[in-house]
Amino acid sequence: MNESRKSTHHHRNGKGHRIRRWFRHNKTMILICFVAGLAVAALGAFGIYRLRSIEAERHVTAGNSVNVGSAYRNILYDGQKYQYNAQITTILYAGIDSEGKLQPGVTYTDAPRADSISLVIMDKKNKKMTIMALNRDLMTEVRRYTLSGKDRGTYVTHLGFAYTYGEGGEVSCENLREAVSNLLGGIPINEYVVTNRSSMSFINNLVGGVTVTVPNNDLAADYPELQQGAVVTLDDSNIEAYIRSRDSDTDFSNEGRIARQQSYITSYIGQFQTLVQEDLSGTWDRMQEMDEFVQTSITKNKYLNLVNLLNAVDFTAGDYYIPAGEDEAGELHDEFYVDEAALQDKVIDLFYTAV
Amino acid sequence: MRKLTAALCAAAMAVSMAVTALAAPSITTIAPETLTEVTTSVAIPEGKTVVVQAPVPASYKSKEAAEVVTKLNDDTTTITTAEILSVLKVDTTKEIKTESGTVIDPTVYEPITKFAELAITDGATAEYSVDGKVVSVKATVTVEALKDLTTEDLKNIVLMQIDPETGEVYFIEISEDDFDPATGKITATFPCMGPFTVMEKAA
Repeated sequence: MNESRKSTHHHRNGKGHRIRRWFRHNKTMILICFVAGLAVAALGAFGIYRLRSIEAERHVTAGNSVNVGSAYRNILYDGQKYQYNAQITTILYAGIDSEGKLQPGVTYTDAPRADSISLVIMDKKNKKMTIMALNRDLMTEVRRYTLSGKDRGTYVTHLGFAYTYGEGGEVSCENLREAVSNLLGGIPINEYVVTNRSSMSFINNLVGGVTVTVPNNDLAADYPELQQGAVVTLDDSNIEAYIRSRDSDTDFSNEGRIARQQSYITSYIGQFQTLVQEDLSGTWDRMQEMDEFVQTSITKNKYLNLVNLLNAVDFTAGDYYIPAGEDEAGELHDEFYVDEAALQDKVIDLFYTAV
Repeated sequence: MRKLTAALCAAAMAVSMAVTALAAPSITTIAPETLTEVTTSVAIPEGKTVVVQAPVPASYKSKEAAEVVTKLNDDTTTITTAEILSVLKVDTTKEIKTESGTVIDPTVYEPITKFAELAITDGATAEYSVDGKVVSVKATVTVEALKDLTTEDLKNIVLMQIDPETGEVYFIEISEDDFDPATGKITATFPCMGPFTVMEKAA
């Protein structure tokens, strides 16, 4: 009995008893604290989950997740306020240095390079279309990734690498879109179209072969039909030569090639406008056939709107703009440094209105 | 319904070709390329040179080395650093040191380039030793993916090299003095010939 009492007494005055008593008296507060703790933990876990989700999204489509913001809408340039022309639609085009189907891989950083990059600017307000050709060696901010797609931030390199750093699919396209947008002060690039060498014949054949007036005799020796002044409908036998060939041993042979290219594009646009006016839906259906050789953000609905827009704007050979700049011999490859002031002037001219 | 608009293709295609016309020596790859200032531990036979090139896993004696190089360089498969180390039988529970003695946890690094390899070639074949002797190489390699890194960034970079004969793995740090951020050039001493990749520590 005494032993029992002693024992009871010991418990009542012991540390364990005090703790239990404290718990009994503070049940409500403990419950509140417990619930609050759970809530904090849950919120914390949710926050971490969201952060990881956002990060994961970024890993997959970092280029796509970049918010260009609205800073481009109203700008101050040389003391003058300008407003972005919201009736402009821009389409980024890239010709990729590859053949066969354009298929994304599962790893990053080893996609083909963008050999040729241009921006089609359709201005509904001024009823004008301009094509801005961007040198693939233009040195500008490009986002890079690890092989698994982790965003490593941007650095200055060849614009053509923007596609390479992606997975050869949507991320590559978006990465290029971001690089061009940033180069041009953050203006929105509404759509993109990417093709490769395997697409060339199809594009030409879509309009039944482009009929051009040959501007020079550069190819006459190898292609007798391509005499200066001749009116020729290009086909699979000469389309690549007409567009791409030049004699690299001859000074300024590039100028002759550019003249051929300008004649090609000017004719093509005219023929395409006629084609879609005659058979809008059929043209779309024919374009489906080369789906595997094209990557684009353009859907059928957008296509219909863009065709309407195309028919509402004028394009002449003079609306073809190549930013000025300087070539420099890089450590391994040529680098092109654009004349930033001149480019900025052109951006103002093409995209903005003084207010 | 992601399709194209021919007008855009057409317009752009022609322009694209024009831009191609303006281009000079082609940009090629962001993987390690070009090799300069090469010093080897063993004399290279006449008529052969040391190059950095796309890997030739079929030439590797180590099946494990061939497997990881093939997998990492394959666009249709993925392989993590932990998986690479597992295939190569690297015991990550033990202390792992770089060639300069720094203890690292390689599992927190991930590749930022595909594998390239150092090889001895006559233009047709790829070899990784001379008369059975391991050839170590001090060389300068250009790595586009390293351009513009800061000194702090560089601390998070290691090269991982695999001996193609044995499958042994080496980790090589890059010192600030051996790095040119303007070009991405690094100078390193590779313990052997064979495949290597550039790895960056996850943030």
